[in-house]
Amino acid sequence: MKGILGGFVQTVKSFLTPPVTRLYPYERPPLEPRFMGAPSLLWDDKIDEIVCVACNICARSCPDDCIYLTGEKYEGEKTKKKNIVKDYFIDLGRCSYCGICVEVCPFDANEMSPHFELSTYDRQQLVYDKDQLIKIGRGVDRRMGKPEPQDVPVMGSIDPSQWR
Amino acid sequence: MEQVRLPYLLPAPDWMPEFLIAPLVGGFSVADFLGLFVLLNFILGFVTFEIWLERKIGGHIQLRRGPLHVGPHGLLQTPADIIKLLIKEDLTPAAADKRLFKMAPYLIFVPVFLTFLVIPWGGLWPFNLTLRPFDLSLIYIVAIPSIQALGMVVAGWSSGNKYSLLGAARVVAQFISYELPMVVTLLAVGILAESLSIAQAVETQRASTWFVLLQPIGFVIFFITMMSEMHRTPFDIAVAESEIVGGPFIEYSGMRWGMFFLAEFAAVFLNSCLAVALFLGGPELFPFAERIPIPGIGANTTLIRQIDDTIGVFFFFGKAMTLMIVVQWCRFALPRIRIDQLMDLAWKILLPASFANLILTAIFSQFGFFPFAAGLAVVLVVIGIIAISYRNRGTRERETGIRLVTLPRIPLEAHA
Amino acid sequence: MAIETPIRPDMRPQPQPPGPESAAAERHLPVVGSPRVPGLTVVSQEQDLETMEMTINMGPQHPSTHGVFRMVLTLEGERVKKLEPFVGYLHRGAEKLGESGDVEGYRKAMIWLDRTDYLSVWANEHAYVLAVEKLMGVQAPERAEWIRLIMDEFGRINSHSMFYGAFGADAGATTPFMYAFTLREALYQFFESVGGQRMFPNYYRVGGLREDVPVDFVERATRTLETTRRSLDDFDRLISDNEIFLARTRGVAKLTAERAIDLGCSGPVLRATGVPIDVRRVEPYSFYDRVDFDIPVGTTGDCYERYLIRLQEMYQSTRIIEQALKQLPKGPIMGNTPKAVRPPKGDSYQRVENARGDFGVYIVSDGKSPAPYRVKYRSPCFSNLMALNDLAVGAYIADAVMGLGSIDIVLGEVDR
Repeated sequence: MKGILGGFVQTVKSFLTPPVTRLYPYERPPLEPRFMGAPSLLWDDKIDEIVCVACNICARSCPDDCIYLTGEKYEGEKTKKKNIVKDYFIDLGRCSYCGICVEVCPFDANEMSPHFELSTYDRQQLVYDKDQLIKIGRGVDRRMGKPEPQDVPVMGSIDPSQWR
Repeated sequence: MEQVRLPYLLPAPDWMPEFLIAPLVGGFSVADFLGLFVLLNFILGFVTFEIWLERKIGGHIQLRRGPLHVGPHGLLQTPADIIKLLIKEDLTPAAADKRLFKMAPYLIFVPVFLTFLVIPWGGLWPFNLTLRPFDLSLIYIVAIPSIQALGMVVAGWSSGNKYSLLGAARVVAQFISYELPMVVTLLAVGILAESLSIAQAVETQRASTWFVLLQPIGFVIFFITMMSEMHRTPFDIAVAESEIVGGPFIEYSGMRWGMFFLAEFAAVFLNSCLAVALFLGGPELFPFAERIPIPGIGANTTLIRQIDDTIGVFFFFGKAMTLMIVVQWCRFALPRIRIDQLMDLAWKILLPASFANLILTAIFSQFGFFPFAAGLAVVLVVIGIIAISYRNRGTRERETGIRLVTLPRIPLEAHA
Repeated sequence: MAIETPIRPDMRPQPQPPGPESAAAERHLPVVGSPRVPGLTVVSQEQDLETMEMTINMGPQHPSTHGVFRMVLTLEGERVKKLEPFVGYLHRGAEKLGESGDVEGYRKAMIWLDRTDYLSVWANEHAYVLAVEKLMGVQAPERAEWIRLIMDEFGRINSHSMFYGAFGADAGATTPFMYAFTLREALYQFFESVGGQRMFPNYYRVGGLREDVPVDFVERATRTLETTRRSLDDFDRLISDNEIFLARTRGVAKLTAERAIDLGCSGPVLRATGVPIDVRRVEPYSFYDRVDFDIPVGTTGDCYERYLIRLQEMYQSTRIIEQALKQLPKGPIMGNTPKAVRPPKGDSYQRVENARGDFGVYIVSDGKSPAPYRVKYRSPCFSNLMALNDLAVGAYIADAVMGLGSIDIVLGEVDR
């Protein structure tokens, strides 16, 4: 009987504890700085041009073969690029969000954005093209491979000790 | 124990028009039908609230919130669910016996509603809210709910599904086993009340004291058996969700399943009300309340009695809801008992205990208080000896179950 | 490249021994199939008592099979006479996909290690990384190895708390499930801060880690440890001593040590039978020989001991993490690994202690291609699952369900 009473006492304790439910979608979930959402292409704002040179390394490194890209010769004067990307598609329905494409990019041209709410009614709409990828990459800075700032505490806004 | 005769029907007040209380069809008057209508709607509405309460309580015990969005604090969740159930497709399995399949939900819900008729709710001026008090209510409340077991067997058999059949077999075994301790306990209550009528039991409790103080074992046994009759955790092996996914109710969907659901929650409320009426004094506020002499008015106890007659239904309600919350609490705190352990509990523990209770109550009513106290002391000593001899069983087995082994650290010859 | 394989004995399925139909026909009993429930066979007839065997399918979708696992049970009443498991519903060709790639094949195979045992993710990645490092002859720096150890143990805590939740749900209590998920939410938040993803972080690399841990790693890990310790106390107090839970699990689904060794079981299933084998102590890898921890070992091999062993292992993991956090040195996290991972020709096998047992990765490399020639995952769950016949046959359905729950299978690992 003692064990059963102990169980009852425990349920009373948890009844009096505030619930841990987070009211998504009214409360946004606290994402860590490293959170890997959909991969995105980075746009160089200073020179107003995309960074990617269509070297195809990300497409070859992808474990799910979800990246397809084509390139064209670069006809501008802003940088010393030889090629620039023309079409770039990622099938986000196949992507495993592993971050390998970001890790291997030698030009720091992409980054995993914090964008994870990707649900659509049609699977075709999950294939993102270059403009969509640039759009979800707005405001994202290249983080992978760069040294972490040592003085800024990056603890996310959710505190594990909040979970009782 | 003083004999208090219950006036079966309060005389109707003068201002009540004649046509309301004239017998109309089969001896029932318009007032009777109105009362029935009000009762049915009240039960349905209250069950809606009760389901919400259970989900909220369960949610907070489990560190979450329960229904939240539909209506303020989720109060409209159950009506929304009922609407959803009503608009679902009416599926009947191809292998099912169609007539029995469609009949089973009614076999389960109707007995529950029928038993509500005899509960003495207490007073709400100017009425005494007992719809049909009659002499044999104690037998009635045992006999009519057993149709529920029949209904579950019909549901299980007619579904044409092996899981349902298993569930139905379990239900039969469970129901029969737990019927016996319940009947014997109710017999003890009948001895104390000196009648087989629930309303009489309430009156006797108001005149003397609550029966829970006179037979605590009886109350515990009744509580356990009633949880088993209602197939609530920890006794819900028949509808075990993680094993046979709903037992007899697998093939039911839509409002047919809604009837089962409704019947289960109505049964929870029903049994709580019965426990309150039979053991916890009905509309009395606290034990011995109506026997307290009030200073200034003399040893006149009719003041509290008047209060109980006027608003006693609210006290009844409060007690019934407290008991109902305890039943719901048990659901979230306890795991499920296996079917053979359930039968062991019924036949080897509850039945002898209920017989002991019956004998003690008989001694009390025949010989007075002191022989009863002596008998109760003997029983408590026996229980104490058994408990003490088993006291370390859980912990001792647990301690010697596993041991911590510290193996020597083998240094790595070559890492990787 | 041809690898010589030894000639193996013919393992094709042999013609089955005659089933119950012929047994019934031999005893001149009627073989009856019912139109409602086909497949029923009358097998015994003693005087007027007939018992029939019922075949039930606990199909791939079932609340208690922990994933897409199918069991076909042959029941006699409530007892299980025969159990036929069907696996393969989650087969994704992980081993074949690990060979894919014309570039970076060794890095690509890592995502499959995440997805085999998706509950304790880090130990699997560790096995793969250590196997490749063994083949290449590189060694990860100390900081990387300590971090790997810490995350392995957190993964073990994660997996065991999922077991706690699922096991409680099998027993019928819904509250442990929610407690477990609360703790796992805290853990997943921590994993997200370290690896970038909650469930499939893809963090270990050959020679070290993908990137260094964040600045507040130690503080955050300590806080998560505190949360874990408090949650463990709550887990314990909720059902470990509960008499109903003890009755459900004590003495249920026993396994003997000889049988466990014959079947190739490992992990808590083996340790519950009394064999104190833990890969972290017997064949240490990483820095397990530099930390102090004990191994819980049982005696009888029943469900309750497996449950207690896993709870105790969670506690021991907190001890390991605490010691490791104190010893965490500063330094690089990637060793002197060439950027392109091309191990020389050969093969290697690395064994780690998964949450479920002895997880192994066997890698064959042919020296030229950027992807492994063959990757094989030795899955502990697959071997542990073979014990199901021993555990369940002869027991009640409820016991079969509890036995399956206590083996703690993860179908991603069984089916790969």
